[in-house]
Amino acid sequence: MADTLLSLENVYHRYSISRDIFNDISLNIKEGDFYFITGSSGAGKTTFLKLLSSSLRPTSGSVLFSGVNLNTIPQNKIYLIKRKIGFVFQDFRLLPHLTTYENVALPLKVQNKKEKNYKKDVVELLNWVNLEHCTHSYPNYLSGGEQQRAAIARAVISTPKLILADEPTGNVDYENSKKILSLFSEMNKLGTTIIIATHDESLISHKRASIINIENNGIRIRSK
Amino acid sequence: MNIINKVINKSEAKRVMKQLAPRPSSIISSTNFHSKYLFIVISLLSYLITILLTSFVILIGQPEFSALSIGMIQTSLISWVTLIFIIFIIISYIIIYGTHTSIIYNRNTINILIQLGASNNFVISKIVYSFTKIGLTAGLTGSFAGLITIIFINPFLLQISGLFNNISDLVVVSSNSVYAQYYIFILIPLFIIAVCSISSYVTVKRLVKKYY
Repeated sequence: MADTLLSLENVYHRYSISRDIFNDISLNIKEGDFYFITGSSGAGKTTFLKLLSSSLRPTSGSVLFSGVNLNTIPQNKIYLIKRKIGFVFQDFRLLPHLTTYENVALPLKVQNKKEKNYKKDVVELLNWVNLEHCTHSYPNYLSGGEQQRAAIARAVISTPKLILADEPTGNVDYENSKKILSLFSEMNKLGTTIIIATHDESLISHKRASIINIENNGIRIRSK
Repeated sequence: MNIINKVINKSEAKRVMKQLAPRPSSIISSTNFHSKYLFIVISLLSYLITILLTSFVILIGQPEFSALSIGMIQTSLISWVTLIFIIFIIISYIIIYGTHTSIIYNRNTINILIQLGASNNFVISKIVYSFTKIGLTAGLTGSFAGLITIIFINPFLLQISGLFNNISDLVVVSSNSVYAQYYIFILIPLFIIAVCSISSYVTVKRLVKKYY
């Protein structure tokens, strides 16, 4: 029986007096789970991911990550939680002045790890995502699919417990979407919990996973 | 033969690794316009401080200066110190403004770093380091240029102003003040580094706490 990695308890979130996003949602996500988050545009998929990644605190209720309440953790210690979570953005968010290698190594660099200790891992990871030919290239010279694969490599380099992806296939074609999904599936097989926000039905049909549908300020879970 | 092969393979692996993993560049980009602008302005101010301080050191070594009334000496001392203090305040203000600009310019980078798990101290250290580097290079450039100016120009200026009766006095005064000049040459870059790092540290700490 896998341990609970993430737990939402009676979470209520609103952006303004007139705009409720979530109204009393509760959810348990276990280690090694694979979830898709679906919902119409503006339903709150990104907000949901932000709540899970400790980038946003709920108006009320609690979000627990490995038993740690993200609401009570001091703001200057949030980075310790963020180091355990890999985040993949729709717009990749690679730093344009760093090479692919440097971008992938960034999560380890911000942890003040010595380059000699991770150099080999980064090169191996670049091989894993088929970007060995782009090691020296700057993000602007990569295609959309290559940039997204670099962003995935950056998210997994620090071996996080959880990977959150916000529309990871939103800017790539169908073939690249399949490649990206297979990378996530491989990570999941190794025990990493994956949560992907998407409205790409073809992506969902390719993977047998639980679906969290966000609608009417609440969530509806469809198990695999 | 086996050992030789091992050594060759190891060096080949190192060479391949070096090619695949290049030397990392600065995370917070500092090649933008404002860092060059800051370097030029702080170099000029550092040059000005060097000229002012060195000329002051030369002046107080003169017998004519000692012959002045105490009131005159105090006034000139206060004027000099105030002037140098104002220049340091200007440097500090420029650095504070530069830090604000740097944070605005690099806000996307900082957001990504924080999302990737960078602590506030990591972000602060990267920004403060870039301004300390500017302070070091600008301080050294300015004080070196000032020292060169003083060494080559000052004897002629003193001669023209008629403070000396003959060239032998000039040589004596120059050799007396030469140690003080070297101290100034070392101290000014150190003071400028201190002003740059403290100003940027205080500013960036406040801003990072406020926005991130």
